[in-house]
Order: sequence, then structure tokens, then C-alpha cells
Amino acid sequence: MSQSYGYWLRKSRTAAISRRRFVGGAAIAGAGMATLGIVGCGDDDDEQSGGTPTPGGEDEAPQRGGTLRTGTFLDVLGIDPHIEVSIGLTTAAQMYTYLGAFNTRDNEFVPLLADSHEQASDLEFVFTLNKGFKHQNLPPVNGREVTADDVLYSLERFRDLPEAQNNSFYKAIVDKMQVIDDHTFKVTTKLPYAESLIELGGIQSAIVPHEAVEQFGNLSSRGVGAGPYILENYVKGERERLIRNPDYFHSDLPYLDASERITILDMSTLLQAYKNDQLDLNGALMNKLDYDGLPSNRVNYTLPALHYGSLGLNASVKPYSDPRVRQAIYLAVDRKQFVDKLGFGDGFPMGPLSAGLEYWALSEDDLAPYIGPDYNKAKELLSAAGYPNGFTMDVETSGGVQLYIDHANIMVSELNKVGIKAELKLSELGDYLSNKLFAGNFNATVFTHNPYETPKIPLGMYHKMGLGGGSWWHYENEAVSKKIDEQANEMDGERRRDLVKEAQRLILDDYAPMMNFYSPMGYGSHHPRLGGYDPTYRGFQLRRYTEFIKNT
Amino acid sequence: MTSNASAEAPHPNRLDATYEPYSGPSLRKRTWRAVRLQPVGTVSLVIIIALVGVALFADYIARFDPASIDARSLQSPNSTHWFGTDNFGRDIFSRVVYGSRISLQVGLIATSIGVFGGSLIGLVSAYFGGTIDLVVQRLVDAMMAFPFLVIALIMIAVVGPSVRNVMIVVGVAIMPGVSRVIRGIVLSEKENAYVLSARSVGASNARIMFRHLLPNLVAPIVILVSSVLPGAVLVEAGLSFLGLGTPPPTPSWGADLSGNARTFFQHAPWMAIFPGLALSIVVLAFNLLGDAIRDLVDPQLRNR
Amino acid sequence: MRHYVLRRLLLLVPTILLITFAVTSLMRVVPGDPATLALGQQATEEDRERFREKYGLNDSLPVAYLRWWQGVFQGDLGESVVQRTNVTTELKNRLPVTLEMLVLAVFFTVVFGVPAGILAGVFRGSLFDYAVRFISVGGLSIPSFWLGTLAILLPAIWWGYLPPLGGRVPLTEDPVRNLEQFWLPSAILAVGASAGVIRIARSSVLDVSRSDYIRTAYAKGLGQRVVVVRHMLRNAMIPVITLIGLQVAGLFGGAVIIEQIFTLQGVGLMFIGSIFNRDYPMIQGIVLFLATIFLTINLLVDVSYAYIDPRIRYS
Repeated sequence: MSQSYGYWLRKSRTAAISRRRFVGGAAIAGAGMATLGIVGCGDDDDEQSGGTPTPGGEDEAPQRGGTLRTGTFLDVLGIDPHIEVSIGLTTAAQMYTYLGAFNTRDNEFVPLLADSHEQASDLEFVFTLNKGFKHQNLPPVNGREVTADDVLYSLERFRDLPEAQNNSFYKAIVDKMQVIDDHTFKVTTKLPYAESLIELGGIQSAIVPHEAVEQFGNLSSRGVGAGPYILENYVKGERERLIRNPDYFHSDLPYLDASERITILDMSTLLQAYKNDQLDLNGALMNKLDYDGLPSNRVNYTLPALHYGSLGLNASVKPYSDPRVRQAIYLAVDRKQFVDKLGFGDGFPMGPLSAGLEYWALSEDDLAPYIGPDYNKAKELLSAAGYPNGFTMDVETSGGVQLYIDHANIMVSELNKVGIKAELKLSELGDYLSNKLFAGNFNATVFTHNPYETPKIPLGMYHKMGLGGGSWWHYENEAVSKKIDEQANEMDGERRRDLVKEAQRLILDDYAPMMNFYSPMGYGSHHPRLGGYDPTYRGFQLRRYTEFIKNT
Repeated sequence: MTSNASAEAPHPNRLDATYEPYSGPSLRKRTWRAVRLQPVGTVSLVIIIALVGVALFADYIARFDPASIDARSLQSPNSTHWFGTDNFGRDIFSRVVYGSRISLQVGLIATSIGVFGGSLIGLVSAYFGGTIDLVVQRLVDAMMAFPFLVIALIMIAVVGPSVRNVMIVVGVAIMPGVSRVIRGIVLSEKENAYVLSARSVGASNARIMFRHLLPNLVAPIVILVSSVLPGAVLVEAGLSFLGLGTPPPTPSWGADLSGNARTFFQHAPWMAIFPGLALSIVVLAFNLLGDAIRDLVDPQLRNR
Repeated sequence: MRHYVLRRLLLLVPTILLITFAVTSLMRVVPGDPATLALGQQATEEDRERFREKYGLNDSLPVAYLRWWQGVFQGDLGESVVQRTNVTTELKNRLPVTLEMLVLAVFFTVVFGVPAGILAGVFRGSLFDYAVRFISVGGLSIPSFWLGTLAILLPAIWWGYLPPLGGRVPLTEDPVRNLEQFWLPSAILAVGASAGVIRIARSSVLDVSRSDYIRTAYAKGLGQRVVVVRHMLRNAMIPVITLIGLQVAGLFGGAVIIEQIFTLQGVGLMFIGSIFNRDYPMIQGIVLFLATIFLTINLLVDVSYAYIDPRIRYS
């Protein structure tokens, strides 16, 4: 293979993007591995675009050197990949390596430490590691080669740390992990699990050297890995700086000399810092108005966001136990109001899955019969269920998150139109989360979700076991739960997609007690000097691998 | 001061003389003098009276339901929506009008709880002295070791955010500071001759405290009320900034200043300007009124 | 008097015990479980139990409290439940930030507030007097979080100037840049404090100016400047100093909000965050520290009362 790893990586990343708007690339179905060398060499179609810059990280020739400056509004708690679930992970992803990175947009496993992998059966995954893949040349590891023992150590650490979250795959699904020899690692699952490779290629499945853990105690503020960047400076909650690892295995990467991030807790200030060209990549959450106000000499783009807000109902109490009442609610809440008032015209109606999960979500046509609005039908249903004059709805939520309140306000106004008087009962955020939402202790509740990249969690919320601790909605629909289990264990990509769609239809047919309001539009921006940045790409570990700064 | 003694005042040495106690200039004269001396304070008083009026007659003054999201969002001030609309389309003028109720309620009730409760504590503690003083002051110290906002935060987290809880919490947080001030004054006062003489005549403790000492505390208490009240109103704004203040949908100036007003500031500054102006003007008015009252009431200043 | 001071010093101990115990028990009353909040929505009850075991959250209140004190005497304030570090380390890192901001705020208050108040008193009734009083009260009337927001956004929008936020530079490394980062938040904090200081300084000057010895000084023919500087200032400053001491606790409250707006990772920000996260060890550590500081300041202020007003007898 004469092409460099970087060249191959960039090519495979750009396989399915479109220019301005993310319309839904042709996802490569199946959980099989990406083949190397799929694109012929010399295939550069450099686009000389005058006028407004466009996104896409296309086939521009990368340049070496330069420092990327980014910012975040999140308080970085630490950078231990097995503990962090938020912004600290992006730092860890640059410092450590992985068996591979799973790109959930195109459904492919991109090998990193592993040179290749084989699926002997639905349950067995064998990874052949690259030889000579060394750790960074720093104490206490000093450039030692990464072996299968390191992989075992790391994944077990992720499984066993009490502070770790999102490790249920390793705790409940994985049967055994074995070191076959120094460069061969095998994972066997207890049952066929569709997202096995996604988990193994997930951003938290980082490979860390035991020497570092033993010496530093934890990896929350220091660490040495085998990734493309070395941690040079880290000041918790303020800033950090990573520099290029000269000994990185895929030797043509990374292109950047350094990558820096600062923390600015105040969103407007963060956006302003970006506009003032103190940052190359915007880290602030923008709304449509912010987006429209961006300077035109930047690369600005929109793409469906993955977070959303929901109304949750307690299906074990009246009146929500009656599916007719739930249907009435589905039909009474006009999703367009959310798009108008919260999205200022941008946004999409959604069913159980976010519109941003293009590959999995039902189409708008499929959704239409379920989500109204149809105030008359709603009132009819309410009468049929015994509530001709509506009823009062106590809505538990928290003032601690502005988005909760924003969604709730609109919902209240909509429900009023069919006679349902919704009253907000506010609690402080910690109280709300532990004692109301997670405990299933409410009649109705409004909250928002984190972004989910796969159907595992959003569907899991409709399961009778919930996300493991029981359904927050006390919802125990056997058919729905069964379908969710089926799709979780279906290894064939296309077949799984069909099952996921069937699950959504079952959920909607029963007007399940978690009703999602709308899928917001996401807005992003970066300076044109940043090259190789593809906002649609979803193998997050790989972000900083192929980005570069153009020295103009 | 001109004397009101009439020409027919009985001669002091006549045995049938009855005395009309001199009660000073008439109420009207005193009021007019106060206005002349303190023009700024008078204006402030007028503003506050207007505020009370707005709060009481909000239903008639506001033009829309403050929670209605029917209008178009983010309109700049125009003839229908005098203060514009917010990002949901709610009329800001109506929200400001109704918001006056919360600020007034929180201000008055929290301050009353705090000042009267704190004064009682300070009075009792200073008067009895000894162990009572020691223990009570340690408790007061303990509470004062914490910033206002933090105490309020912990208490709201326990009892939940609601208008009533905010009022109680702010009131309780005010008490220690007030008690210290009153205690300081009582400590000085109780060494005065009139207290000693009252005691020597056999007056009970309660009588001394409430009949003799308390009237001398009226002036400081009034001053305290006027200086604490604006702070209480601002603390409600601070609590709302943290998401612990007046819960939606009740409009409150503090809540309307946080959250979305800041997010949309560059696009729709009127969302923040009008509640902010209302808050600032009212707080300013209370502050200036307090200054004016203090100037009038402080006996040392009166004769300048 | 000496007995009084000694007794107050001894009483610090039970007061601190009272405060720390109150906070420890109060936090357990506040609804919300640290393990649940730390582990998120996918955690099972088993996961939470393991977490609680590791952080000693299952200990009963007295046991937890005693164990914590045990740690304190060994210099270890405990492991934060959320911050992935030792409480002592966090505090050590954050203290300089808050301290610098508070010191600068007091500095601005004294440097601007005191002379302004004095001059307003000396030139009572003048335009300057009214202007000073109006500005100081005006500053008090705007919530500090708005003042801070405007102070950042308006220059950025109008002139494209943004203070170098994010990535604080320590004072030792680069004093100029450090002060560039700190002057604005400290100034905003000072606005609230200086209103009170101006008022006290002014009325104190007015009080003192009516006293006999000042009248004598003028009668002797001394110029105004000499009278003010040599005679008035010293006595007029006593209540001012007292007030500044009292205001430190209030300044800290304001600091909490300002730290968030200006991204200053100080103790105030951590305190608020810890309450929201139910990070018990962190809260206890900060409370212990704050209580000690504030109680000591209060003691100093109380002692100074006795020197100001000799009629006060502490029995």
C-alpha cells in the first residue's frame, strides 16, 4: 500500500459528505471492516471555490505545522478517558490510541492500533495489532511497544473503575477478553450484540499504559499514551496544550504542531472570542440568530443536531395509562411551534429518534400521522377517555437548565388549546435528576437529552427495563421491548436498520409515554485556515488526526 | 423653628395654669419641610408609590397575558408591544408590569421578616448580655460567616424554588446582619441614664426593652429597612440567575434578566434593558429614599 | 478586655464545629444523591453502590463527620466526589484566584471609594458630592451579573476588544497579562462595596468635622488641607475600616457570580458548583476554610468596636 495512512484516512472520511448541508450521505451498511486502498491514487479534485468557503474537509493537500486554537464552555473536570464523558474525552482521544475508531455516520470501523480485525462469529472479534506501535517516549513508559496486554489492562480498567459510566457493554455483554499473543487480542460476547464494534471502537475504550496509572494514581490530570499528541500543559478548567507526537506510529500524522483549548464558561463570550479570531474553531452553541450573525469570511454550516427535549409521562397512573390520552397529547402539541419559537424556523419533527440519526430515523412522511397537530381529534380522544374538559397535568422539571423551561413553556401553551392545564413544578436540578427523573417519581416531566450517536440509548429508554435500572415511565410494553432487544442483537446492518424502524413504528403506534418535541438544527463555524475538518464525521477520536492549518 | 405659642398662653406661675404640651409644627409643615430638604428622596418616594400602583393594578395596565406566546418573537419595541417581545413572543411590557409584584413582594416581605426578626434577636441578646449574648452571637457569627447568596442557595435547594420560599429564605439570610447592627446600638444605649433610672425604679426587663429602648431603635430600624430592601430585591435577581429564584411562568424582573435575555442580548437587547431598567430604577429609588429618611431622621444631622 | 479576646478566641473552636457540623448535616438533608448525579442516566443501582462504597458515602453522619476531621488533622481534606482531585489540591489551586480578585476589589474600593467619600464629605452639598453619591448608589442598583456581562460584551461589540479570558496567567508568570485579566472583574466587585464605603466615609467625615477639636484647628487658622489630612482622616477612617472588614463576606458572595462570568476558576465558583453536584467533601472543605477566615475577621472587627466607642464594655 503506497498511500500514507493519513491519505487513506482522509479519503475514507470524505466518502459520503455533501457540501453545504448534510442531507444524509450514502451510509455504508454493515458492520464489516473498511477495506484499505479503496480509492485510486492521484484522485485529487481540488475545489477552487471563490466566494463563501464551504465545509467538507475535502481533498485539499494538507500542510504541516501550525497550532489549532479551540475553545469550550464546558468545565473540564479531568482527562481520564475511562472516567470522563464530556469535553475531557476529546483531550484523551488525542493522547491515547484505540483498537480503532468507529465512525457511526458511515458505519465503519477505522483501524488504529489494530491493523485489521476479523469476526469469527457473531460473538467473537479478533484484532490483529500493528507491530511496532509504540507509546510516547516519555516517562514512565518511555516508548514501550503497545501489546495486547495493554489492551486487556485498559478495557478491564474501564470496566472496573467505580467512577466509569457508559461501560455496560464491558460489564454485561462481554463474556471474556483474551490476550492470544502479543499482537492478537480477542473479545467474546455473551450474545450477538449489534453495537459490539461501536463499543470497542468507542471514544472511551482508550488504551492506557499501566505504568502511567500506577505512577500518577489516576489519569485525570496527567497521562502518557500512544496517540498522536503529547500532553504538554493542562490547567484544569482553564486551558490545555497538546503537541505533536513525533514517534506516532502512523508517521505521517498528525499534521498540526500543536492543539490548544481554552475554557470560557460564558457562552456569549466564547462566541465573541471566536468572532474576534482568537479561536480557529467555534465551540459555542449557537442559535439561528447567532449563525446569521457570523462573519461571512468563515466556513459556516448547519447540520441536524442530536440533542432534543421530551415530555415523559408516568404510564402507570391515570390518565396517562390510557393510550388514547397519550395519543391526544401527541396530536395536541404542534411540533412546528417548537421549530418556530425555539429554532426560529430551523428544525425537524421527530419520532423516537433524532432526525440527526439519518440512517435510522423514520422519515417525516412516516411520522406525520402520529404527530399532528390535530386539535379536534385530540379533544375527541380526551372525551372518549373520559376527560371532555381536559385535566390538570403536574409537570416536574427544573429551572436549572434553561432548555427544560423553554420546551416546557411551549408545551404548556399547546396543551392549553385542548383543555389540558399543565402546571410546572420546579425543583433544583440535583433534586430533580436523582429524585424525580431517574427515580420515575412524577406524573409528567420535561427534560432534554444529551446527543446520542446510535439508537442504543434513545430506543433503550422505551424498553421495559429502561437503560438498566427500570423504565422511568413505568412503561412495560412487551412488543416494544422485544423489538428493541431484537435490534440490539442483530449483527447485520441493514436488517438491524429495518428492525429499528419497526421498533419506532411500534413505539408510535402505542403513543409511548416519552414524546420527543423536535430535532433542533445545529450550527457550526470555523475559520477557513482550518483544513481537513468535517463536521459531519462521527468517529470522534479521529477529529484531530487529519486537521491542519493552512499557512497563508 | 417658629413657636406656636399663642398670645393667650397662661402665665407659668399662675396656679390655674394648664399646659398644652407643645407638639411642634403641624404635619403639613413638617412634610413640606421634608420635601424641601430632600428633593431627591421625595422623587424616590413618588416612584415607589407609582410602583405600588403598578403592582396593584397590573391587570389593568398590562396589555397582554405575560405568558402568552402567540405574538411574533423578538419584535423590537413598536406600537403594539411597547417594550418589544422576547424570544417566545411574550410581551415584555406586560412582563415588566407583572414583574413588579414579585419584586415588591420579595422586597417588602423578606425585609420585614429579616429586619423585625433580626432586631428582636439583637435587642434581646444585647440587653441580657452574658451567656445569652455569647451563645446567640456565636450563632449569628456562624450564619454571617457565609455570604448571603450561599445561604440562600442551600436553603432553596432543600425547600425547593417558589416565590414563598424565596421570600422566607432571603428574610432569614438578612437576620444576622440586622441583629448585629441593633445589638451594637443597644449595647451603647443600655448604659444610658434613662435605662439605669428605669431599672432602679423597678421596671421589668420586658418593660425596659419594649417601652424604653425600642422607641430609640425606631430610627435605626427604619434606616435598616431602607438599606436592606434594595439588597433583598437584588438577591432575588441573583437567585434567578442561578435558576433558583421565582419559578416560571411567574414573571419576575430578576428571572427575565437571566437565561434567554443574556443569550439573545446581541439580537434583542430590549429583552434585558427594560426589566433591567425597572429593577435598577426601583432599587435606586429605595436606596435614595433610604438616604433621605436617614438624613431626616438622624437627630445629629437634623440641626445642621 | 484581654479576657474577652481570649474567650472569643477559644469560642472560635465550638463555632467552627457548629458550622461544619451544620453544613455536613444540612447537605445530607438536601435532596439529591451524589452517586446518582455523578454516574448519570445509565447507571444501575449496583454501580451507584460501588461508587458510594469508594467515596465513603454510606457512612452515617457522625462517622463521616469524625472521619473527616481525622483527615483534616492530617492535612487531608478528602477526595472530591466530582472533581477527580483531592480537595486540598483544588483549594490550593483556586485560592490564589479568589484571593487576588478580592484583594484587588478591596484595593479599588479603598483607592477610589475612600477619597471619593472623604472629598464628598469635605465639599458637602457641592456638585461633586451629589455626583459621587448618585454614581455610587447607581452602581449598587444594577445586578452585578449584568454589569459584568455588559462590561465584557459592549467593548467587544463596539471596539472589538475582549479581555484575555480563558487560560488565566498566574501573577508570577506574567503580571501584566494577569492584571489585564483581573482588573475588570475586581472593579465590578468593587462597585458594590464602594457604595457602602463612600457613604460611611462621607458621613464619618461629616461627624468628625463637627467635633470640637476640628473647630479648634480651624480657629487656630490652619488651612483646610492640613486640618483634613492631619486631624480628620485618622479618626474618620475607623468606621471605614470596620465596614471594609465586614464587607469581605459580601464580596465573596458577589465573587461567586463574577467568577462564572469571567471564567475565573476560584473558590466561589467551585463552592456553588459543589453544592449543585452534592460534592460533600469539597463543600465541607471550603466551608471550613471560609468559616475560619470570616470568623477571624469578625472577631477583629468586634474588638475594634471597643476601641471606637469606649462606652461599650464587654463583660
